[in-house]
Formats: sequence, C-alpha cells, structure tokens
Amino acid sequence: MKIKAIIVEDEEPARSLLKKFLEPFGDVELIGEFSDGFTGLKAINDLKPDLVFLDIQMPKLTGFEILELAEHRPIIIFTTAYDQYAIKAFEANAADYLLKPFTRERFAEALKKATRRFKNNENADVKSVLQAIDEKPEIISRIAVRSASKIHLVPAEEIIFIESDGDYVKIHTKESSFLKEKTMKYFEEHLDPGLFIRIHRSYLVNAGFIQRLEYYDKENHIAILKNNERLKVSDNGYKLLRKALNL
Amino acid sequence: MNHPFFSNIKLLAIYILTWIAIAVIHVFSLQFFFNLSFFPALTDGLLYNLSFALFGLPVWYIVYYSKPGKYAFINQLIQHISSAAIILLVWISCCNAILKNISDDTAYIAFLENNIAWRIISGLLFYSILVLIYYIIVYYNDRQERIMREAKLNDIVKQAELDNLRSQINPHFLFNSLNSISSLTITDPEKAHEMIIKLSDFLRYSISQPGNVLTTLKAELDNISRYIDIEKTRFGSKLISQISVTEECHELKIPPMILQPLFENALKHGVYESAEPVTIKTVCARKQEYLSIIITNNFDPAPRHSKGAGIGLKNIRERLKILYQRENLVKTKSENNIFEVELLIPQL
Repeated sequence: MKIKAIIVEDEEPARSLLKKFLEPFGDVELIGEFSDGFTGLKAINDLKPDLVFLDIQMPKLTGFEILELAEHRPIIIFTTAYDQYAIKAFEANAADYLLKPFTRERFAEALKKATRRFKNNENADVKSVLQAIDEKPEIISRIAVRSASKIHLVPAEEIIFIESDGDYVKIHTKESSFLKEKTMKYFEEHLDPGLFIRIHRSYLVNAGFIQRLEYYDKENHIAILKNNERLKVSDNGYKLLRKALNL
Repeated sequence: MNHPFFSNIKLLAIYILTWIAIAVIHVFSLQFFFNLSFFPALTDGLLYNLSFALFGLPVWYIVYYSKPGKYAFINQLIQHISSAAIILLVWISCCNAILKNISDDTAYIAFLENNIAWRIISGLLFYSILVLIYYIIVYYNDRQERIMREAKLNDIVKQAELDNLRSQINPHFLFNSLNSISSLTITDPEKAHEMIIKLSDFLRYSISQPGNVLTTLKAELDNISRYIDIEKTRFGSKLISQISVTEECHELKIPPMILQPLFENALKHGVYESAEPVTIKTVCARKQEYLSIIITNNFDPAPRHSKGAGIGLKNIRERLKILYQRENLVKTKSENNIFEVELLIPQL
C-alpha cells in the first residue's frame, strides 16, 4: 500500500525540492501540494493523507495551528527554517523535523522514520510533540478556533476571559465563545502576561475588560467585567490582579 | 596658548596703534596743560607709554594661567595686585631714571618728581584695562573653542546615530534567500545561478553605499528591483510589483537603502501573511521641493500570529529626521486593507 502524502509549504522552491526528493521513493504517492494554512488544513481533513510535509510559518494559519484544528491525524514531518521550537525534544518524538536547508540524506532519514511509523500503523503522537514544542513559550497574539465548520482567528485583545471546561477551555469574546482542546496553563503561558491574569483556578481574564472588584467573603473577591459578567477571584488571583492593575 | 597679539597680527597692530595714540595725547597734554617744552614732553610721552606697552605684554600669561575656574577669585586678585605693584615699581623708577639722565630742564625734573602719584594712578588704570581686555580675549577664545567642540561632538553623534539607523540587511532575508538557492541548486540550477547573481548585486549595493552620501532614485529603485526579483523566486506570482517613475525623477537624490525596509515591511505584512496575490505599487513623483515616493500594498486583515516590533518604519523616520532636520517626512495610512506609506525626500 502506498503512502499518500501532501506538501503544505508557502514557498515554491521548497515545494519543488520536496517533490524532487520524493521522486525516488516509489512507495510514497504525492496527492497534493498547498501553499497556505487554510487550504492545507482543508486538504488534511478532506484528503486524509497519511503523511504531511508541513511548514510552520505560513499565511493564514501556522503549521501548529493547523494541527490544533485538524480532525484527521496524519504523520507529520515539519519543514522549517527556524530552530526555535525545541527541536531536540521534537526529534525524540514520533514525527521528524527537517531544518531547512536539509540534505537529501537527512530527507531520506525523515521519510524512513515516517514509513516505519506508517507500516507499524502507529499515529504520530502529535499532542506530545506539541507539548514538547511548548517548552519555550512564545507569546501568541491570536488563537485559531473552529465553530461549526468555520475557522476563526481570534485576536488576543478581543478575548474577555478564558474559562476551564473539563478537558477543554472556553474562550469568551464579545460576540461568542469557543471551545478549544488546550489547558489553562497553555494560555497562561502563551498570552501576554501583562494583560491576561489568572484570577482563579478556572479563569484567565483580560485585565482590560475588568470594570471593578468587589469584596465577596474572607477568601474571595468578585471581578465585575465590562459585559457585566461576574467572575470569582481567589486570594492568590486577587494579589496578582492588584499587582497587574497597580492597586 | 600663544600670546593673542602675536598670533593675530590685527590685534598687535591695534595694540601698537592704541599706545601710539595714547603717547601722542600724552605729549600734547604735557605741552598744553603742564606747559612743558616740546622735547621733554615728547621723550616723556614716548618712553612712559611705549615701555608700558612692553611691560603689558607678559601680563597676558598671568591672566591666561590664572583663568577663572582654575584658581579662586581671591588668588587671582592677589596675583594681579602683586604683578601690578612690581610692574609699576620697575616702570616708574626706570622711566624716571632714564628721563632724568637725558634731560637738563630743571622745570621738567621737578615735574617728574612731583607727579609720581599720577604715574601710579595712570599705571593702575592701564594695567586694569589691559587685564580686562585679556580676560575678554580668554573668554572669547574659550567660547569659540567650546562652540567648535560642541559642533564637532554633534557631528560625531549624528553620524553614529545614522550608522545605527542605517538599514542593515535583515539576516532572515539572507537566510531565506540561501534556503531558496539551496533548493534551486537541485531543482533548477540555472535559476539558482541567476538568483545568486542578483543576491550578490543586492549585497554589493547595500555594503558599498556610505550612510550619509545621497544616491539617485534610479540606483535605489534598481536595487529594489533586485530585491523584489529575489523574493519573487520564493513567492512567484503571489508577489506583484509595479513601479512608476516620471522621467524627471530618475536623477533626484535619496539616502541609500531607505526604500528596502519599506519593501521588506510590505512583504512581511502583505505577502508572507496572505494566500492571495499581493501587489506592491510604487509611485515616484516630484512634489515642489520634494521627491514623493508612495508605496502601497494590500494585506490580509486577519489577526497576526505574532506581532512585529515596527522597527523598520521607526528607523526610517529617525534617519530622515536626522538627515534633513525635519519632521513629518514619513506618512502612513491603512485603509480598506491597503497599507500606504509616503516618503517625502527634500531636494536641496
């Protein structure tokens, strides 16, 4: 059985090179190439490839955002010019990480790993890979979410607060709210810490949306937001908030 | 420091002429107010005044070496009182002795002996005026020197700032280009070769231009074409560049490497982030005493994954401000998903 592969990469020369390098491998069939995040995500969901060569910096969605949103879990080989994503932790993991420019040998090695994975029928453990990448938090200024079949890119400054909800978090904006399969800790680390305050185990709030604070009982305060929502503030959260708001 | 009268011939002439004038007045007043005969009046006037002119010269060094700030006021005062006393003593006793020897006019000899107090007063006056003039010269020289030093310092600071603001080639650009070239060497060696030549030309231009020497718009736009061509290799038809320049603008002056960061911005915020084609339009025209360059690009309004620091535009603003000592030479606006930046380059 042939391995069905796609390339998601925004630069023409890089796509050509991947195609050229793939030519000698008869057991891999290239079924499509895509040059931005949206079409890439759609292709993963629709074509359900076995293997994806995935760039990270791309228009519309980054490679990581694609993986967050994809419903199908293919084997991933990242191809990127940037090494700031904890490569080593990544390489210890399932899929491979090709740092551009890479040699034909390095490419063959990555493909061999992916083929082995395919034959053993084990899926790339994308989650652990992403966690490994998270070792070095990068401040994000948008969150990619899915509601119904549409993809939204929510700017960080439009988020009012984030609420924990079982294995998910609920992201509240003025218009609507979105579920996302991530941890509170992830957002606490990746959103601007000067703006987003963890006021409670269950709430990460955008300080810009806080209207006032009210005393509730000995341990707790209540934050009243500009949309009149009332959120519990823990003792520790209150301290953080006071510091952030210079009270 | 050299004596100002010997380093400036004009000052020396004024000094000598002033003393001759004083001597002449002296001779006449002796004749008319003291009824002395011509010869004693002449020798008295010449000797007393021209010898003081000589004694006055070294006083400069007292003034110069006891410049205010170096010694307390009281020290300076003591120095001047003692030097004035010595000079007056030597001056009056020598002149009187000589004049007595060469004159046999008894009325004049009596005059000499009776007017020592007046000699002292006039000597003190001469001394004070001379010291005052010397102080003025010292202050004036100091001031000139300080102004020059400040101007020089300003130049150095300005140059350093300009060097600092000069757009450096973004290492990412170089890195990405090398990546593309590396891919092309496998898939299309001819194209790789072509790209290396363009990259070399681009780098040559960017390192060969001194920061403060103006270049022509044509040279600057040629360089931008190379830059766009290099990026086109990566992004193909997604990147469209249209440049329109009126004929008269080609030779207008512009600081080198001032446009490249703007195109880099257009690429970063337009092409890198968009799946649709992005058109970068450049319109150059003369607007009165300015060369106006308007660069527009369309962009995808979706929120960014991570934000840029906006260094490119800020640097250009600063650089133009320092070069032309004028504000508002860079204007930007963002409307209907089109970003526009206008540069106004003064044509002096």
